[in-house]
Amino acid sequence: MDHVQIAEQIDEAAVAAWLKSYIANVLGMEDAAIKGSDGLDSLGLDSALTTALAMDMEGWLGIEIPLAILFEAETLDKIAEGVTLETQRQQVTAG
Amino acid sequence: MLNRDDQIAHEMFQEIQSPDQPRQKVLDSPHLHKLQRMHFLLFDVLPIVGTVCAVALLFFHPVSVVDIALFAVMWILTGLGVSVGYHRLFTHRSFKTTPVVRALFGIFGSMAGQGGVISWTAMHRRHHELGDQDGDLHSPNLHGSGLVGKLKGFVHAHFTWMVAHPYPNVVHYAPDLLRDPVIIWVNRHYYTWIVLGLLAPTLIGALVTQTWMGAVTGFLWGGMVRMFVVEQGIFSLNSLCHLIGRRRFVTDDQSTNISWLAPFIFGESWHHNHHAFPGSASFGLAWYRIDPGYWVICMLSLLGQAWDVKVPTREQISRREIRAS
Repeated sequence: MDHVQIAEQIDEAAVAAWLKSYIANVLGMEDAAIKGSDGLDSLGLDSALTTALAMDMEGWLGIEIPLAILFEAETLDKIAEGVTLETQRQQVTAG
Repeated sequence: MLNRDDQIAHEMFQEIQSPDQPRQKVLDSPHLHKLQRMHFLLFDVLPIVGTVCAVALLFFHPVSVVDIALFAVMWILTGLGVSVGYHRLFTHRSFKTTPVVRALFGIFGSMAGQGGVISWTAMHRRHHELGDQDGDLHSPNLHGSGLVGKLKGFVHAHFTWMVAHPYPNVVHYAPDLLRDPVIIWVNRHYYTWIVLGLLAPTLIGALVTQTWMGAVTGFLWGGMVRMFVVEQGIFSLNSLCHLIGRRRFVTDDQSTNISWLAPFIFGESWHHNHHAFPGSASFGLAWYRIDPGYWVICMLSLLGQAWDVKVPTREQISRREIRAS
């Protein structure tokens, strides 16, 4: 049940911070250079990288993330919002 | 040599992964399967249709020298793009080269229509990780025993696995490519390269012959037929080179060498040698085995455009050979 406890502390800010550090790490950028208003596309993440991000995020949160959230949201902030909602939704369903 | 390669690969794969985080290595998703189906129809099925059209047209219109030349040049460029570029350079890092040569190989490889360089690399590294075991994306040996099982396996490994398949985590399998701006640029324009690879023979055919028919046959022979031929060659590695042919080393998979195929697929069909020595730029492992991909690397090396070309020594090779006891 570890992952549920971790997921309870997940809010939009935490997801946004994870997104920024993940993308910075993969693309070799500084965390600070990535803004919440950036989109995955404008940062240079294509569908291959976005899918990788989804897999690693699923590993982190312990939930299944519909790819549509990542492919359709225009900004990182919107993704953080969508993923947080999804996390809460799946916790309710699981509980 | 293999051990050092394994270590580099291991470090590459571990680079970004933190130890306390479980990592998913492949993902099956309806969204991705839809993209894969579309790609399959456009670049795997359509070239078959185009090839049938090109052959049917022969009854009405003899093939011209221009068409044959367009086919040959495009076949060699895109075939080497896959064999030397995608496979030996990007996936297995068997030699080093300049950014310009990397870009050219990436572009010609993309024109073959077998996927973007990063996806192709990630999938092929997974194939080596799990050769002929559960999780191998295109093994012909996981579909039951007997003739029926082998036939099913052949069809899957040769063709139908591409309809819909688990997609690999590129951050896990290809972090090195993600740090290379040249590769990122080539990968991002994958579809542009494919279109260019079809447009070029069409335009050249039209300009040289000054006819509309020249454009049509240029497209068919320099575009469709050459895509078909390069693909069938590479698909044969996944199917035939894990089913029939000879083995001489101990490997964890069921890969084989098929000598007669080698001239037609740039030496790639020394596939068992390649599974035994994945880090080697040479697949033939001896000068008398036909391996045009390696010859190109040697030529680049002579011209000072390739260096650190990795090939196992004769002693390293003989140490791995199966001996009759």
